Order: sequence, then C-alpha cells, then structure tokens
Amino acid sequence: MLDWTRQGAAVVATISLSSGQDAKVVLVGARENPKGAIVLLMDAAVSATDTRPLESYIDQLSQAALAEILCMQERLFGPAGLPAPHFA
Amino acid sequence: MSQRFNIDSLLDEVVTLPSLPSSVTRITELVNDPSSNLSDVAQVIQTDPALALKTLRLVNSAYYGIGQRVNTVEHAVTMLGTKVIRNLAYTAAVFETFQRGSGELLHHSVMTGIALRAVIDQSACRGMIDPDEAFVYGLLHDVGKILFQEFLPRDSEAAALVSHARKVPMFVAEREIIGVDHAELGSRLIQKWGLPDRLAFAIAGHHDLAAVRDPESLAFAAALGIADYICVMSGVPAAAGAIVQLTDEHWTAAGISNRNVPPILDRFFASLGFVDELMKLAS
Repeated sequence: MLDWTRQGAAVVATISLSSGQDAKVVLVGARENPKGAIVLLMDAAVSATDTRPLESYIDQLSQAALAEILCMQERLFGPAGLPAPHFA
Repeated sequence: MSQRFNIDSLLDEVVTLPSLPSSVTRITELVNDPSSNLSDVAQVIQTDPALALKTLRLVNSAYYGIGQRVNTVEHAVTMLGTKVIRNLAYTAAVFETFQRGSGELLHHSVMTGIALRAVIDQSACRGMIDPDEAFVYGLLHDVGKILFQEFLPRDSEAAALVSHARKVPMFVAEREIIGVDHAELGSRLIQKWGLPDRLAFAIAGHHDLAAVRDPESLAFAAALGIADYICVMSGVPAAAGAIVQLTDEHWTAAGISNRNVPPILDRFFASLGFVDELMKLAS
C-alpha cells in the first residue's frame, strides 16, 4: 500500500516504476481532467523534473499501485461518493 | 492463550454452520433439473413469504433495472428466468445471514459483489461467470467472518488486534490465533449450502492463492481477491483499519493487465449508486 500525504491542495505518494526508478504521483483533480493525476520523475543527471499525466505511466506501474491510485483519486475528487481518506 | 483449531475440530467443537433456507435449496434443485419449469420455481418461492417479499423487492430495485413494476412472484420468474431467480434467492438468503454480522461487513460485502462484476468482465473468467452470479459470489466472500464473530467473538477480536498491531492481514492473524482463517471457514459453509465448488475453492483462496485446491478455480479466486482489494482501496474495508495484501500472482492468475485496471474501476465507480439501495434491501 502506498504512503499518501496531503501537501496543500494535492495528495502525494512515492511510487516505483517498472524501470526501477522512484517517482511521485500527485493527485490534484478528478479522472476527467488528464492532469488530475500527474507523475513527477526526477532526473538526477540533469537536475530536471519530468512531469506527465498518470496515463503516460500506466504500463510502468504495478496493477495494484494503479488501482490504489485511481481509487484514491476517486475518493478525493470523484462523484462516486466513496469515503474521504484521512491523513495523519 | 486461546485454543487453536483445525477446520474439522472447529466445526466439531465450536461452529455450527447455518443451513440455507429449505426453499433456496429446493430452488437450486429445480434450476438444476431440466424437467422442472418456471411455475415450479415460482411455487417454491411463494411458500416462503420472507423470500417472496425479498425477491420482489430485489426484482423491483434499480439494481435490476427491469423498467416495469413486478407485483407477483410468477411474473418475476417469467421476466427474469430461473437462473436469475436462483441468484436472487441466494442474495436474499445471504442478506438474512448478514443480519448477524456488522453493518461495516455488509457494506464491504455488497461493494465486493459490485466490484467482482466489474473485475470478472475484464478477467480470464469472462464468460464463465454471469454478472448476477458474480454479485452473489462477491457478497459471500467474507461470510466466514460472520461465523467467527458469532461463535468466537473474543478470538476474532484478538485476531483483529494482532492484525492492527503487526500490520498483517486478518487472515494471517486468524490463522495464528484461531488456527483457521475466515476464508477456509466460509468455504465450508459454501460447500454445505451446495453452491458451486468453484465458489468454495475461490473463497478459500481469495487472500492466499496457495489455498486454492483446484487449479481451475485459481483465476476466479484471484479475481475475488482483486475485488476485495479494490473495495479496501476505495475506503470500504470489512473492518476499520483492515490490512490487505495482494500479490502480483493475483493479477497474473486473473489475467488482468494494467490496461484492464482503469475500465474495471470506471465500471465499479459507475455502479456504486446501487449500494445504498442494496444495503436497505439487506436490512
């Protein structure tokens, strides 16, 4: 299970990609918005951050992590009426 | 320290598995009998007023969405066919059983039924299990927990404490405290009720695929575990703070790739409008 934290209006967790790199998934809006979930990948070699929609990384996540991210996004921003998460 | 059991000693000494209502057993026999007809099934339902009422309420629910008012059991059976009616009867019987469990567990079980419908459609089990059956099967996956809460409430509570303290799934804690987990116990109830073996095998192994006794049921057990996982991730666990662990093997065995995950969740989220209605029908 991912370790989620609230950072302002966003909810963030660290994820592992199949390439072995760690990245951050940042949830800021509902599924309909392609930028509602974005992945930040830090490239240490060039000290730059690559930011792309979650959709671009679907094949690089485990199914369990992907399901957890989409469920968390729905709980935070979706219309299905799921229980809101609590953060420490 | 409390006594630890194996499944046979648990059933001999502590747990009495409840019987399925005789009307539901009879309906199952009729559905499996090619010489029976629709009015035979309707007659059996009519002999059980509680079942007849629940069947009519379910038939008229938005969940079934048949678009016209059904006032008689005969009409319901004619409209829906015997297989759907059998699943309705199972649902009604399961809801009766859940009167003994917690509201939290009922909510989780209804959600898992809805999730399993979505998971099956994108899995290797597609075409093998129809959506109504999937709902009933999801509804039943944690029925063993009700039995633990009823017959071994203190041990069940102790297992929950171990699960929280050590952050291990409930089934691991139950094996440690009781000797048997809710999945294995629930599987025995399914067998007693004469429900399909594949459901009993799948329930037994939905958390731990190594416990699936029949390789042909592996994909179904994995799909059930995934449906359960989705509900926990959606904030509706069987009990507050439940720990869930899903292996990569679950996804592989269920034949679910990354690309299947978004459509599963889209369908699941879109179906959640039925949860409140189904919860009311259960109570």
